[in-house]
Amino acid sequence: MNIRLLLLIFPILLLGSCKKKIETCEELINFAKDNKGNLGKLNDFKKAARNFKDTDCLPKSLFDENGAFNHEAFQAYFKKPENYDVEVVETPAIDEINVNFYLENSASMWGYFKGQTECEAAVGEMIVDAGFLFNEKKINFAYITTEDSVIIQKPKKGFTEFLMRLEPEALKRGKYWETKLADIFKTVINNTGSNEISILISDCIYSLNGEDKADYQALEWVLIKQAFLNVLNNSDFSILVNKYTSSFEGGYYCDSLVLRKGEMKEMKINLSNVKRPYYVFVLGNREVIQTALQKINFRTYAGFKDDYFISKEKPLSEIDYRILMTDRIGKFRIDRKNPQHGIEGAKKANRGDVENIFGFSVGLDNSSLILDDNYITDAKNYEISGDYELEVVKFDKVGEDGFTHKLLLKTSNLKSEELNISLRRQTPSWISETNSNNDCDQSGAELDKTYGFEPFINGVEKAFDTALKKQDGSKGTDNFYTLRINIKN
Amino acid sequence: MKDFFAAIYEIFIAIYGNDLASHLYGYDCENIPGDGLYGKVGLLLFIFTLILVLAYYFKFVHPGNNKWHQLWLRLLLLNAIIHFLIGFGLAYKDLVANAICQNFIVNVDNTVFFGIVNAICAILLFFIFSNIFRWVSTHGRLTPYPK
Amino acid sequence: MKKLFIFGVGGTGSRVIKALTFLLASGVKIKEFSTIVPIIIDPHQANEDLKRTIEILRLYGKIREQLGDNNNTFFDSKISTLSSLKGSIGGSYTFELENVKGQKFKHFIDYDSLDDNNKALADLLFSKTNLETDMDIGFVGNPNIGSIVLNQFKYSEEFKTFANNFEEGDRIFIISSIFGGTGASGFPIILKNIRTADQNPNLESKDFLKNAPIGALTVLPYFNVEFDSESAIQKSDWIQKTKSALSYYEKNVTGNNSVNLMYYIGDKLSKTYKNDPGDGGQKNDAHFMELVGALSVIDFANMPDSELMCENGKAVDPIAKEYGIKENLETIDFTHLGNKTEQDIAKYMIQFSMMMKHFENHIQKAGKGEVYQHGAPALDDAFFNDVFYRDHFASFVNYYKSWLNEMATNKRAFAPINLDAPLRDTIANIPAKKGLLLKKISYHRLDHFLNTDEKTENFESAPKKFINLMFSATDKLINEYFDRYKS
Repeated sequence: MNIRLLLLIFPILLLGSCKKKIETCEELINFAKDNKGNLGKLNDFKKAARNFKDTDCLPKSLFDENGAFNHEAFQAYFKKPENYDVEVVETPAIDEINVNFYLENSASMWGYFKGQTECEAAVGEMIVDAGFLFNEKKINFAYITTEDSVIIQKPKKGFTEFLMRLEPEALKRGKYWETKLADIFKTVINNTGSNEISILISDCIYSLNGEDKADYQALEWVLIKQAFLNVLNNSDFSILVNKYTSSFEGGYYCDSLVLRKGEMKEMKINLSNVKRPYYVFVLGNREVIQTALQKINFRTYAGFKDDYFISKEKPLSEIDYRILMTDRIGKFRIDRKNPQHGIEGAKKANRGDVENIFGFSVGLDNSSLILDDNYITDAKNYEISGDYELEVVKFDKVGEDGFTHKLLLKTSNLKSEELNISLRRQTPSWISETNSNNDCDQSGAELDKTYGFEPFINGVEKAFDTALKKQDGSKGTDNFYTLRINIKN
Repeated sequence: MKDFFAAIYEIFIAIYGNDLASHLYGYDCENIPGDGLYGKVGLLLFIFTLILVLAYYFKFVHPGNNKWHQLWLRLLLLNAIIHFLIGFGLAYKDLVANAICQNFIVNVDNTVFFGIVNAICAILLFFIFSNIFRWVSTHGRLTPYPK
Repeated sequence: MKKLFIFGVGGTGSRVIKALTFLLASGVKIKEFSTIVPIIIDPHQANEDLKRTIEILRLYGKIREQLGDNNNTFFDSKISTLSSLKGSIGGSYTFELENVKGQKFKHFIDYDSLDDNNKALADLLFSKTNLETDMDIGFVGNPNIGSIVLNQFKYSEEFKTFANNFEEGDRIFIISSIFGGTGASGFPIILKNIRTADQNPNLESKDFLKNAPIGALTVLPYFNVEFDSESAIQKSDWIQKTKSALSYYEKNVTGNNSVNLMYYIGDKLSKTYKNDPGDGGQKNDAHFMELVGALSVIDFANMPDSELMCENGKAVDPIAKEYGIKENLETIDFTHLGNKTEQDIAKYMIQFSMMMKHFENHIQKAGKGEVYQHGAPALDDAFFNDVFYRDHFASFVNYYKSWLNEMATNKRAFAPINLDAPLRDTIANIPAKKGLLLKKISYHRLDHFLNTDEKTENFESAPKKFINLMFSATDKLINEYFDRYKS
């Protein structure tokens, strides 16, 4: 009879599920392999992986001490699960990293070391931290001005004391009257192994040696660019540019030529009790730098002003982002066919002070971008294809979903559309702000600037762009990423 | 299958709300769809009502109790009550167990309304099945239509 | 296609035929004979019994017409008038005696024109009362008158038609009472006319008519009439008349092997009726004895040919039969009848009774619109208002009920069925079965079987559907609740 047949089928139907579940470790790993790099599937992978937290299925490094996900590790694993199979980690262990400090010891730098300055304090602290966080034995320190003027220092009493006591006289070593930035960069770059980072402290002031600054600089820039291109050809090299200010007392050579001692030399201006900018460049393979940056935070050192990370990083076409259910204004449902990035049934709010407004939020994980928070939270840096207002908020704490920020979007012009939100990749404004075209001007404003800094950085950027173009033929984009949110009302 | 039931229940989505609907579909805080409750509730609704209707038309109905207001109506109401309890109960259980993502705004009202929606669907489904199976029923062919 | 011709002579004849009609309506089977042809001979046209019987036969015919052949349900056998055998519609179940209406006997024999010698003979043979008898009301217990008058039978059109329609394989049964006027005289005349058919100039010679298997039922006294000095009918004369008739039969009926199978039935216990010979009178309540008489017809029809052989107009091996019941009680029911009788008629009568009860109490009340009524052909308002259901069937049912009620209040009472009792007590002494898993018997249960059966069959017309379903459903209902009649 019909009834009996149904009673038989009933339990089977109830228990069966239409969706395939990941139930074994093998299935999980296969899933990762099949979908690797597809960040859209990362969430599915994460959800399934939860069930394997306490098993040996996934490498322990993917989870932190409390058993929560280590998001960077997770993402990295997901990008290349095979490597994790054999526990070969691309990023070296922290204590395997060599840290090479290069201090430009040309004359223009001496002013930063007269007396007790922020520069000494900052650099000293950097070395201390490096020694503590990395392998102390793997810390190296050298003076540098030209290719053949690299003088390694091995102070007996340790670097900190060495630095604190450093006075300009101690810097009169090697070819201190020259500064060939191109040489410096070339040397530093070529000496940075795959497992090393180099930290270069320089004021980025050219020594013209009597030649025309403009021509000279042009040549320098080409040489620097070439140096980068060479290394970028076969590695994922990157550079972190940090700007610091410090008190300065001493001579400062600006870009005008004057006759001095029978030769045309840069005009020397004596400065005292002022603050001058200097730069700390961190160079190395991107992953090594990222690993190091997990431990050492250059923004915390005395006098830090701005930073800018330049890498061959492909503009992220996909980063981990998702529509959140918080901060809703009006009503909507998650689009079942596009649950991470789609909204349907959107309706404006019809009451209160948010009347006629529709708003939603998007959580995203910016951890793979090394960007200044100010940059990220500046709505001006975003381009939105629709008529939406944007506010970017940083999460106080990164939650389980790994989101670092959320985008709050609002509109009074609600319609069905595909909303594209792009984070523009721009040279930070501080670069042009710190740029000076006339640094002989001793007025206050110019003091905080560096001649020709902007073109120099642009040159470096171009190097990276060129390398990127060569690498995968892309035109390079102007965006770090583009989020696509589909809205239906 | 879950989508099939979701599509049906969500005809009434305005009654119990978008957020409970998302939860019932199985979404957690990360918009990752799990199994959700639509499948369970829908399947129970479908199968239980089917069995009840079949039992009525092939076992219980007889001349003497085959008028619409007799056993048929009672079974219809019983079915509706059972499925109200199933719908409300399962949703409420999730609510008190904090199994619903905090970002979804769901309170007891929503769960009660979902129970009501399930009851409505139970009534409709009972009616539909009645109209299908009565044709092969010996004694129930004219139920529930007044003679 | 064999036919059974039944001559019902006198009041008893028509009453037995009536009982037989009800048995046939209940579905009792007469195996080999598809058509029954009743021919009632009774000059007492105003006889209420006769009128009733004829009406019942007419209704049976109308109902049967709607049902057609081969149904195996109620009204299974075909009852036909003599004239409609040849296809003409209508006809009569009675044999109209001529020159009887409004005539005194003395006029019939032209007494006044007789010469003195003949008059004297006539005076010898007939009493004064006899001669003054008005024959409208039959021969009022005087077979001497009857035998004179009924002699016209052999010259009649009816006899001719009968003889022409009699075919090989057909049989004849003659019903009469021995104490009456018409019956006692008519039976031997008919018998003789059939056995000497080859000598009848009126007929085309029919050899097989004279050798036809003939059965006869003689009903001995089973009821009384009140003493009424004014009435021509006297009970005290009956015993005397019975004896003289029997002695005549010994010579001319049983003694000379005219009849193949002779049935004798009678009863000691008797009810006293009002002594009413006349117009509108002799409306006697139905009696169990008549039903027994009908049983004899059935028994005769089911006899094998080999037992009813004739040669030269004489029965080769004549048989005589009597009837008995199990217990001598004032009121009897099915449980007191012999097993064979019970098997032959009980279940059918119960089925018919259940149908009647359903008809009266349920079908157009709580059972209206039930599923079996719904399917085509529908038993809807059109059907219920149609002449088949509202007139023919309803009237027939009324007559059947009266028949049962009369038998139940008669002496000896036969009350096998409680028409007014609840369904479970329909059968006297046999209550409906009860059980834990068995649903209580009810009209709804009958509807249940009606529904089930309706589902599995197709019917050509609403009347057919109605009757067929009722038959099969009541059969199943009885099987379920009455083990005694389970089949």
